[in-house]
Amino acid sequence: MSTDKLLSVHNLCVELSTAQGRIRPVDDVSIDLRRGEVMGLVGESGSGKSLTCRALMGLLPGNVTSNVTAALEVDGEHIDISSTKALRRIRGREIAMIFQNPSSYLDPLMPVWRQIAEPLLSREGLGRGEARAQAVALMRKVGIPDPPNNARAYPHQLSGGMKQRVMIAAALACKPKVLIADEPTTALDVTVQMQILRLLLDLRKESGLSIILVTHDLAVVSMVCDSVNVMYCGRIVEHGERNDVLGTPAHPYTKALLSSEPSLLGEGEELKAISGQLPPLNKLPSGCRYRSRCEFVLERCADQDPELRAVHGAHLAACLRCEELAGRNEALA
Amino acid sequence: MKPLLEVDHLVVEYPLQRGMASWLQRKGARGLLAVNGVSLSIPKGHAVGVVGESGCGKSTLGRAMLGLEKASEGTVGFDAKALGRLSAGELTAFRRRAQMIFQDPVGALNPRLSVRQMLSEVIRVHRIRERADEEHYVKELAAKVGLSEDLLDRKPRSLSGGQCQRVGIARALATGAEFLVADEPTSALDVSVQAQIMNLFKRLKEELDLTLLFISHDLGVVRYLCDTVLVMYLGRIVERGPAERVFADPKHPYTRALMASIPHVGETTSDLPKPVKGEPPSPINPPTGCPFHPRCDRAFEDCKRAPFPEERVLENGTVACHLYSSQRPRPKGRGLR
Repeated sequence: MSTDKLLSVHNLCVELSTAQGRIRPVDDVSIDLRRGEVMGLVGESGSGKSLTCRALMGLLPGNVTSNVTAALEVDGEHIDISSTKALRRIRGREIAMIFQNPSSYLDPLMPVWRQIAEPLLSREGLGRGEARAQAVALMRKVGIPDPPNNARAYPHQLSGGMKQRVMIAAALACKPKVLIADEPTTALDVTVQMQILRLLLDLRKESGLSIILVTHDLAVVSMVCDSVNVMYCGRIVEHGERNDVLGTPAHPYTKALLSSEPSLLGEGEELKAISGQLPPLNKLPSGCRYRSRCEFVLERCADQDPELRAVHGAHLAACLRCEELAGRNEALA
Repeated sequence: MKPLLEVDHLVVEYPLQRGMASWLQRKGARGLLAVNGVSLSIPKGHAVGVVGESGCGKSTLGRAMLGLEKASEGTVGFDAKALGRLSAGELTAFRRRAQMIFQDPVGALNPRLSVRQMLSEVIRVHRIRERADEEHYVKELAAKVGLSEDLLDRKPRSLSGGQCQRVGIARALATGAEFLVADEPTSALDVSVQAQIMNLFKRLKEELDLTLLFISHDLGVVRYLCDTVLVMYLGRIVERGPAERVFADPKHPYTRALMASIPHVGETTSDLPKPVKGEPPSPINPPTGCPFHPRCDRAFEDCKRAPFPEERVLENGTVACHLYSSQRPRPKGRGLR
């Protein structure tokens, strides 16, 4: 794998104006994605992981006033993230996105080939016949059986796994370099989840696609990702190569997430739950945002807001005790 | 000990719309068999997990065991009485003793009622406590499921998913239920919250001697809570047994495929066997022979033609697979009596 940067986002902030005042659900997030890398973005609901991706795509909900700032660079080219036009230019061609619930993103009244071909017709200016042929080829590529026949199908005639494949085909239509997958397998059965994850990995291998995989499942990250970002309360609290983060977690939150996964084989000992819940964004505590739930909390955690710093090499964590925590290697080998 | 619940050859059939031609030819006279000849018994205080892919009939089985779906054939017996034959009064008494917990914790609650109102509604309908005693009982219930008292006046929208699920559990326990059907109670929750709810289930099961039917597609969750596991495929039980045995030594090729599909922390793609191919077939038009044969990596000739394999009793549970039928030579290395 080459190490050149394909996508780099620096200091991404998303500010929303709500009835409770201005909140910052994404606060100073930086991501560097290499060519052909699969990067995991993990966190609880409300941690800002989906919003981060949507901000990159310029797909924030229109009913709230939002203010997005970031230094965005795609394939060496600087993009103005506040410009709708610039984002529209890269959407689909440079970065494409797939979502958790394919049924609600597909048009129920349009045969699936039309939905896959939509960007080809409207953006690449292909003729109908050619667009259809390409759509069928894309369907074959993502493993939909009998593409010529299934091209005519409407979404309700397909299963959840097939609909997700259709979404992937549509996302790949304009040959993007980055695919953002927002919880693509959460709504699927485990057997089908495995098929979709395999498909994503195959696509990476074949066409060098880079993938940002948003998930709350650390086991999925462990299986398919090269590197991991753990998000908490709008911030990245830990970043590193998969084996570093999952093997020697340096942030107490990552540690807690790992131990709350029920295991298939171990004895039925009490699951370690994380007590409490995410603090509301308009009432963030002073100092570290995780301290009210942290089992390693110190007094100085209330005064100091820890910044992301190196534990060793490229393994970063935002915790005052990260070196100490990464040292005690009890979570797993 | 007499089992609390006894299900005997239960069939739940949903009618299908048929065209006149097929009606005249008597083609496809059967509807969709969501549950197709399932028998099981659950002793008091036991937790039974039901696993399988979507559409395998696990939710229908759970609903039928509460009398929410009518049995087309076979019976569901609760405390030695068949559900279909209960009088109105007996049915109300049954509802007090058997309750359900739903998958979508927020959607299962009335958005316009506060937690206190929702709990007292149940108490009043079933006349569990006198009015004077109600307030005290509501607080007792909240404490039982770990809800702090200051949440009692909130409405569902200002509660988190985990808190809503606790309300759902409190509501089910308000009637003094002994038997709970939990239909994917944690699949809408984050792992950290899921762990809280699972610990709550485990504690309640021990404290109140609850009998549980726990439906989930998450094998890890079932492994954590349940004593016995049933694996369902297309309306039938293909494997059952004690949880430790099924997870440590799965017999049916489908159970193995399911287990192989679960990602584990610490595993990478190269560690894993190939995932099971395809998706579950449609129950409207099931394949001939064993319904799993088109996806099975060990299928042989018999599987395509012979009728559905019967459940065979092993030392530790049962399995319904032609690989284990007596005419076939034993597969190597498998513990088979």
